[in-house]
Amino acid sequence: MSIMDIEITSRPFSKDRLKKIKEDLRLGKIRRFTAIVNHQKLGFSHNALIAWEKSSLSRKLSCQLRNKDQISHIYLRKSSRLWPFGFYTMLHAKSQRELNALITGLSKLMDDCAYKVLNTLKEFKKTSFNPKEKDNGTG
Amino acid sequence: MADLISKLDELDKKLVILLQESFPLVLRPFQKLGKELGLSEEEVISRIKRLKSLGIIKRIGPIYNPDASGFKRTLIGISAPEGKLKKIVEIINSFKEVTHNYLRKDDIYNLWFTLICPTQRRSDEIIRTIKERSGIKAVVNLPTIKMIKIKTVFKP
Repeated sequence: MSIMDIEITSRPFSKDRLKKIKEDLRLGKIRRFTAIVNHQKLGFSHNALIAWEKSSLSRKLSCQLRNKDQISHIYLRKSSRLWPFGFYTMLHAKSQRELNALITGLSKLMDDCAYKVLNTLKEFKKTSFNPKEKDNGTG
Repeated sequence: MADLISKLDELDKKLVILLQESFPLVLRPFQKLGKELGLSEEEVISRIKRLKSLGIIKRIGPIYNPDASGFKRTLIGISAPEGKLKKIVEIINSFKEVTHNYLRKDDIYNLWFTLICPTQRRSDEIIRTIKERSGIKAVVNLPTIKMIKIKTVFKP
């Protein structure tokens, strides 16, 4: 057990530890305190990173996208001349059909801009960022 | 994978959702979760232990924000030929600053990894080293301009 993965026991936190977690949440050092799941094992078998040819987006659109459960990550990135895709969404679905429908829906919201579907074929590494570094957890 | 889901009853599924949505930050979190689900503290604990042993829950803990400590983040796509894939994955994964690395379907860049570094210099250095050691020049570097969302609740 570590700071990244609490012990599953009646009292997993000391009072001080709990205080520190709440403080770090308030300061934004910790984004969330939560369970990290293996989504593939929960049935999300069809995952894809979509690269959109977009370099900015309206407040309204980013709000609409944020509210979608099937999108876990949304990023604006600095693109290049050879790879003009500046906007990225990570999608999770339980079937190919569901994934296709999701992409079609998003494409409409995105004014039919060009995009690339980068289907997830295999996971080689997935760890959590830990500023203390000595203690990287999975997830 | 599909048969794993059949091992979960409705309470397990509710528990998985609750644990992701709102983990109670109190001295006895599992007792509190039990109250919400109509289960005893012991039962919640044994269910979570089982979910962990099945590999459904990977960990329960904090998600740190790299931006809060000024870390530089980027997504990198690299064109890895099939014959050299294993070796290239090994090179990339050897850096602790690499947090995610996935094989994806694309005609140009098939390997995609994320890099979180304390400085821009370190980030550039790692990319340069990966290029040198792998001998691959076809690399696209996509530094984060803005994070808009990083969260979802996976509902079984």
